Amino acid sequence: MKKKDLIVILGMLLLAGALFGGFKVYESLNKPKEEFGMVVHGNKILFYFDVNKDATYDFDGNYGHMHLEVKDGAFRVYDVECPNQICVAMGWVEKDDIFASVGISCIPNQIIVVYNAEE
Amino acid sequence: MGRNKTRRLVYLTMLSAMAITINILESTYLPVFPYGIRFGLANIIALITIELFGIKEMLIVNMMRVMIGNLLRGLIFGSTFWISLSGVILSSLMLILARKLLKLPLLSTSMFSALGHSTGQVLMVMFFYHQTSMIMVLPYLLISAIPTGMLTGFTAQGALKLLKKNVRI
Repeated sequence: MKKKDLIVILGMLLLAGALFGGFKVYESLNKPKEEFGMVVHGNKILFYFDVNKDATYDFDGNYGHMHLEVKDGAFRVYDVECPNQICVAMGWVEKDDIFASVGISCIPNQIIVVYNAEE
Repeated sequence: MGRNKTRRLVYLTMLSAMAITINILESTYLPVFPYGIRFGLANIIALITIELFGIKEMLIVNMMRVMIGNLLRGLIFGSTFWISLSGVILSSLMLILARKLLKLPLLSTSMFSALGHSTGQVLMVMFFYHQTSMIMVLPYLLISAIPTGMLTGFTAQGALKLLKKNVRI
């Protein structure tokens, strides 16, 4: 191994480190600032909600009334006017859950409640 | 066709055949590490060719390797073909740059070439397949280019020593 080889190795390591650091910085700068969820009716977004703020929301679907509860970074639907009650049975969805971006869906009401979905 | 020209043609053909064989064997039998890191053993032949013959011959052998190697595997003009083609083009350019313009030793030339190969592939995926986030794997590929480049570089060095001693070109 010659001196030039060592210089090349060092240069490549530095370049890799610089790239890696650059990506890390870029990543931390471009982090989404607030964690939001949204309620979609058909192909329309009804509203956004903050997952970290405890609150309840109510809205209408095709079939009837629905309620959304947000608590401790998790959300669920309850008190739904629908014979199936499948969306209620889905229970709480935590924001760290891998299914959070799939969320809760109600077919008769054509409502989807998802977390951090890109527009 | 003179005697030397025929000899050159035969050597080029044999080198191309070896590059293709190594390429196919590697992609079939050797494992692929995380982030798509591979040994890139076919680079040994490219290094030997540029040392024994020159730039033009190295380009021929490299292009033959990609074209015929992919043809034999039945992947020609598929999506992976274009990725490997761009990798080979950039790796050849880096080889020329390092060996002929910067006059670096063989080991660093090999590392440069490995670097060029992975960068070319990443660029192809980024711009033609619109997967811009692929750039995140570039640092890992850069680091991996050092050991794999060393491996191919040392192998090529040993092979060249033997070839120059025993074979008249």
